[in-house]
Amino acid sequence: MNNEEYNILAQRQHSKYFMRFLNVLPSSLSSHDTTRVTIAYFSVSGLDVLGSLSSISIELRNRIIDWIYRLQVQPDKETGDMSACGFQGSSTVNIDFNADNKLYRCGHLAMTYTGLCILLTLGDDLSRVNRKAIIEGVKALQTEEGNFSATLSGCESDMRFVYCAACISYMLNDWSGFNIKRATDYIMKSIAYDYGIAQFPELESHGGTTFCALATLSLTNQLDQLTEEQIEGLKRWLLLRQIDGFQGRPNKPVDTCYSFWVGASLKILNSLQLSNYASNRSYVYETQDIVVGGFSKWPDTCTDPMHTYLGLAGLSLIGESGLLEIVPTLNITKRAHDHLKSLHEQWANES
Amino acid sequence: MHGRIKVRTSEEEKAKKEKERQEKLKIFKHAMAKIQNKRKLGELDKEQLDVTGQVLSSNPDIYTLWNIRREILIEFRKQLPEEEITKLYDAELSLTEYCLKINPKSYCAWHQREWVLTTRSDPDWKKEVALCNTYLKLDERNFHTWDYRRFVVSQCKYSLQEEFDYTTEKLLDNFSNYSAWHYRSKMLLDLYPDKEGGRPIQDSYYKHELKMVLSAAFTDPDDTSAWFYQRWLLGAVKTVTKIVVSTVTPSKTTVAFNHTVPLKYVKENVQIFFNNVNVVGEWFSCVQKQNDDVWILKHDQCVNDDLNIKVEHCINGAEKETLVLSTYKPSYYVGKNIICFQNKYSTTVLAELNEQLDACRQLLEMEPDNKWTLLTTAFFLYCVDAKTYNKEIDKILQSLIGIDKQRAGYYCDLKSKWSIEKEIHDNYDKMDLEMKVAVKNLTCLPRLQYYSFCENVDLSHQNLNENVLPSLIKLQHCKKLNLSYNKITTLRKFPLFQLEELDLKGNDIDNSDIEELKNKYKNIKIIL
Repeated sequence: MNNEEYNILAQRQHSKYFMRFLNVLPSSLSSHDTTRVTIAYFSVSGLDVLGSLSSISIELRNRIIDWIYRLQVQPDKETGDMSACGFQGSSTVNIDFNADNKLYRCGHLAMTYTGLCILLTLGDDLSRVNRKAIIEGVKALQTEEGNFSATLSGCESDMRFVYCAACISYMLNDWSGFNIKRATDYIMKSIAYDYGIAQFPELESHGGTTFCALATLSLTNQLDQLTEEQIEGLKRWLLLRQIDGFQGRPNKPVDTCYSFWVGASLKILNSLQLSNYASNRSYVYETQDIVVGGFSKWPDTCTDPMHTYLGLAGLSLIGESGLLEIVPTLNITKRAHDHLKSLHEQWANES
Repeated sequence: MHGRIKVRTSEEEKAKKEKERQEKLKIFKHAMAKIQNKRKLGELDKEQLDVTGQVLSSNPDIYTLWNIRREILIEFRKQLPEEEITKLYDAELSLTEYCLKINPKSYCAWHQREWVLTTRSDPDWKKEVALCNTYLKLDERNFHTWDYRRFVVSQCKYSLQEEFDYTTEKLLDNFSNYSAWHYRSKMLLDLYPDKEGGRPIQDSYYKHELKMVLSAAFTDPDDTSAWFYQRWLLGAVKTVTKIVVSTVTPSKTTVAFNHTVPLKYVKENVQIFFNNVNVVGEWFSCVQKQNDDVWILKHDQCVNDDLNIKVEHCINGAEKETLVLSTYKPSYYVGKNIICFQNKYSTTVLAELNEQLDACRQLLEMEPDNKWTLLTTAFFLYCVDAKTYNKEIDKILQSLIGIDKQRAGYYCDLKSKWSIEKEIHDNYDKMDLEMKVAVKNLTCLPRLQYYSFCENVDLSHQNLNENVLPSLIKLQHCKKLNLSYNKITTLRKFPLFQLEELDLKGNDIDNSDIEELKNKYKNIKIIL
């Protein structure tokens, strides 16, 4: 059942939906146990975009903040080595919350990124963040090609983690762990023949990775490295992803989350207004569930936190009333971003 | 989080599910605790392999467990005989296969497989290729599989030709296979490069590919893939860096290029001469970026009447072009270059383009409303002879705005761009210091650097909104700017440059924005 005709945002239901996830993860998402921080990020930032952050009591807010800090990986007690520093995604691997338990404690770029977003959104002043250590942890993860791995203990390296590393550096206002020239080279080499951007040079272009690449170029102030031809080609490729909602790649079905990934990419290129807001909006609303709350990738499928948050973010980008403005590069509200800017000023005054 | 269909459950079923879940939870917690404990004690043994295997079978995405398994296998390799290690590697591959059945997009599982194959001394690459084939039959768009295939092919030096034939097979099966086109494009470049340069591939194969694309297009004109591929085949032509116009006045000296260039390029390849003496100074981008198309030279030389001004440009560090500036009015020197927006195609390519045009026209007769055919036809007409075909191109773009509403904004912008180019083509050399365009309904301002020399700019009665404001900074010598009767609603992004007069009549702008602008610009005259 759906408010198809009226396309009204079911704000209360979505707020309740996010609040439920902040309390417990359902079994259908058990494969995300190791990435619980990202689920928390969708929920907290989601509540922020809805203007419903006040649903989180002060007590819960503090509990969440403390939980995130417990997941921070500190420098090695004996050697002072910081290469594993960052934030973990959950306590799955070190079930006892003993911060000394260093077996397999290493940060994960996506968790560090989303963890910091949560702290900022909840108004934390990041004073308990070991900034220097986190940046050293980022530095340890950049490859020769300019690419980034997510974590020290070994995994694939691709555009998603270049993006996370850029966001972390931007948020902590410290680029010493991120070689901008190498990363920019990597991005430029990953532009495909159709001007979309792929995970890796030579790979197929994809809406999600195009966002990661463009947001990185924007955060590092390197957007002007793109030639006019590349910008026009990118715009064209992105705009042609719109069917009613957006798809991630040619000939694939549309999916609510791409209203953010592709929408934000267009926004960064100052071209979102060239897309059709009405049909985009209409599709996203088709995936809204007003009974359970949340948004799903397709109509009549189960909702989940990621599609809910990205559906809302996608709507915010096209100016949906009732939603706060978001900053497309970091994917947090402008309100949270302003708080970040004030912290930057504070840090500058302290040094 | 992959599309799961909603299913209704009764109370009884709910209770049963709950009990099952509790059981699963107990087992999971028990297993994780055991893994933790063994890790702590440094027990790298078969039991650990068993337990981690159990957990991964239901949840393949726990990175750490795969890492632990690698640790164990590395340790075992030091201790166990070759035979046993081989069995273990095989078991590892089986486990990843099992996990990929659950989640064919699991990054960890693919990565583990890659690790096993690069670690063991006897990798069976043929088996891996067969695995890819199987998975691609199930989901031909799974990019993980395509990427893995590339890795396998690169490792075993599989014949590129065989791979190429594989894509032909996949495409003949289903032309919609965008991933296959993409993969194919990479191999084409490696297999049949055009050694003379200018195009990506050799002539004979080129023609063959174009024919293949045409078949795809006739089979299903609505399919994106073929059209993108075709554009790529015909599109790759190098553009030459050229100076468009250079302007020297007592207040400013500027050089505008046909596309953005980096600071290093300008410093090394451009020199300005006043009466045959090189002007020494520092170059600045008009927007303070590393790459720009309008560059300002800050220098100490006095600019008065009676100067002989020359600009020398070493094109891409090789051939030289010289621009001689003429006096447009006292102490105001402008030098315009010969303008050409057309890519110079060879006769062979032009012949192909015309052939393709004919095919497009045939398609249009059968399906007059097909957006791909329309857009491609317009693009080809533009490439072959934009001047002669401009009316037909305009008509096509106009109909596209009606047919493909999703991209109406894009087509309006494209129309604006090509109209401005025609305008520049027709009138550029005759222009004096005033920019006034005959084109109507402009939604964007492309090629603005061409007008950087103008003192008066008239952009009134168009469809411009505030998104064009930042680019106005390219009008470096503009003193009077007319933006009346447009769709501007805010001046938030208005750039700072030396304007004397700004006409904003007929726009819907907040008073506060106007006041703020008056404060930023002390001496500006704003007409409302």
